[in-house]
Amino acid sequence: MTSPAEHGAPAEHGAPPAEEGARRRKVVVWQHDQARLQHDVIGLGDVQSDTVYGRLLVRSLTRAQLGLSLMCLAIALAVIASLPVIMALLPSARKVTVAGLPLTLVILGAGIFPVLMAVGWFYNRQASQLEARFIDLVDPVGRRLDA
Amino acid sequence: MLNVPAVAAIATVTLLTVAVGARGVRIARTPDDFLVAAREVPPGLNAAAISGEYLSAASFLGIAGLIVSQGLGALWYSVGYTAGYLVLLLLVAAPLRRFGAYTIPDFAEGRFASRGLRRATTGLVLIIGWFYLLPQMKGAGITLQLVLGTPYWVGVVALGVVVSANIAMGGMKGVTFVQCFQYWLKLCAIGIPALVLLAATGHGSTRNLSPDAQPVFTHRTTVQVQTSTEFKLARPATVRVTGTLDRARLADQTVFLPAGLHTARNGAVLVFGAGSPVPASLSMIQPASTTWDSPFLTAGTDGTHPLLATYGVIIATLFGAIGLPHILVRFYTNPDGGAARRTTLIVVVLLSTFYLFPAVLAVLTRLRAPELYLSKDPDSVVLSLPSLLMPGRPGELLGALVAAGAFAAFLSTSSGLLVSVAGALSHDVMRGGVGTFRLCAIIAGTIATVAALPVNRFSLGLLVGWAFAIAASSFCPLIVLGIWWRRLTWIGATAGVLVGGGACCCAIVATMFGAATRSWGAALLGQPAVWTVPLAFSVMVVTSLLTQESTPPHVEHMMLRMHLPEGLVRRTYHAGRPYSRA
Repeated sequence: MTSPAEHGAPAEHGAPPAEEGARRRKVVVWQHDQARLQHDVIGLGDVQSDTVYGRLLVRSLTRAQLGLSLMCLAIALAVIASLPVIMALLPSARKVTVAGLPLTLVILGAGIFPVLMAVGWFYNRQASQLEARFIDLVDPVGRRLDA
Repeated sequence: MLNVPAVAAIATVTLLTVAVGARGVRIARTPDDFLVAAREVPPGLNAAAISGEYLSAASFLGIAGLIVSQGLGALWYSVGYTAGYLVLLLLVAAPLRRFGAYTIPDFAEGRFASRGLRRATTGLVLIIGWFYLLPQMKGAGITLQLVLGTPYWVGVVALGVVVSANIAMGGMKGVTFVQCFQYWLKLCAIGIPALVLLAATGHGSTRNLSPDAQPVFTHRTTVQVQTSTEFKLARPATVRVTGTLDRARLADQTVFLPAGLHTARNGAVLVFGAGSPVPASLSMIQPASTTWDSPFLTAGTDGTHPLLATYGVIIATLFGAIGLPHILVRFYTNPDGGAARRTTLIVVVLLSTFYLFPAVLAVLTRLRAPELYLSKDPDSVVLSLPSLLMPGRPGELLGALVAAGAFAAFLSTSSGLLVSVAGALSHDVMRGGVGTFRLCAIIAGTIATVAALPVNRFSLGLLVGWAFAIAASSFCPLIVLGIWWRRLTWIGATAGVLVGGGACCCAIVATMFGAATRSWGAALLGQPAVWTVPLAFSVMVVTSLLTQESTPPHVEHMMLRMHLPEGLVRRTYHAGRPYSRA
């Protein structure tokens, strides 16, 4: 198990992050009966000690998460918000009927729901993969041990 | 015309609710209890519980009523309520769960370390909660009015008393299993009648659905006027009348009625031939500029600027779900962020399934029971439909099922809201303990009951839409920016919440008092979300940028807490405790 780094007091916003010297640790890893040394790895320790690299890592994570969220939101909004505009610009579209039912009824009453579910499902998958990749990046050995 | 099975069904649902509550089932308020419970609750069960509580009077009665009276544009409400949960999933689900706050004021205080902001959010919890309670009360009033024939206020007072007493005695809310059962009950209560009625009457002409068609009776129909109604005929009609019509007593005589307004006293019987235009009471008439199949909603009496009103509803419902006070609590029963995402997705699926059915009922009304256009209140259409389409025992039973589901919706949503409101009152305003909570439950319930008496004339869908608009203009920016933007300060947050929420409240109150009924004013005041939501976001951003020196401390720590994936959390926090109440 990786020895947990000292969880120091969280740094104040605006205060400079911990010195770079803090990240130069040798981490001793025990795996079954082998001992391995990992040198100067930028990873979980930086996040815990709030170093420059730690902040960079966390920022890259949140940026990726936000990017994914906003992309999926944009897709959902594009579908939802475009319908009134399209209907307004194409009056003939309102007259279309599907099996005797107005197109509006078919879309808003049933057709749009699978689209919403698909966006949600896609987001969940991508979000889990994103988090798994981050864990792999930051704490690869620990992740395997944790399995 | 007493529907005995309906009375029995409503009584059963109410007694079950009170019985479970009287057993003193409480919500555990410490995080540890929740953690223990959460590990045993599978996401499907949790999702059903959330959906069960989310579906209120508006979903059950209001949407169908709006579709019948205002047209297909009302479908935007059902799309919005479902998509609102999708937006919640995309923007806040996992981080909010990881933060660990129990209520929105807790989140505000924990994230910004500001008591001022906490007070502001508490105030808005009270406003939104009461706004959402009013339509539930109204729903109870009109349901009992239809089923028992009692005056409107009897239902309102009955619901108020039952819910307040239930909460004060020990609270039924919080039992996930009970809330989960509520969802399936509501789904059956609206799905079974919809499917049965569809199977029984669905075949046949769909002429009344054709674009631009004014509804006509497809066959000879006898309409019995229950209460004196003023109605409008779009075209002239030849009608066989027994009773008092336009102040003339007639006995089985055929009269020619010109287009326009007419009055029928109660007890009159009108027989319309096939192809006659359908009479519509004044509350069921759309503005002249739109047709029934128009995909837009309108505001005001002249129906102009439909795009603005439609987008107002879309924005309010899409972004309001995040800000509903009684939703955050349900979130906390997920074990971690990943589970919160899975649960929320299942909620979207469950809601989508439910919202198929109000549309079915509304379409059947227009096609097969157009005499319901004489109803004084669109919200009662769903309750009347089964007996009208299937006279006799089967219709009575289906009607009983719908009434039971509707009452279950009122009870569960009101309970959840009353707990939020009473909790906010007792903890933040009066700073008391359990005894104060019970007192606050009674006070809050009484205020809601009294306030619900004059709101009869506003449709359920509209009232709930307004609650969503206030939530979207105040709490949505607070939570979204609080989760994703490091530089949000407590001053900015407070300013945004107060300006957005305040502006929206003022617009809505102005509309309720009839401030603007035409053109731009009606659209902007009637569906204010279209400008109050961007206003709130802008105020928050600009004010925060101007007050950067008061950024709360430990922002990085909180970002870690909200965004770090579950696999790493155990190693980063040696204590591993989520946020606990100060």
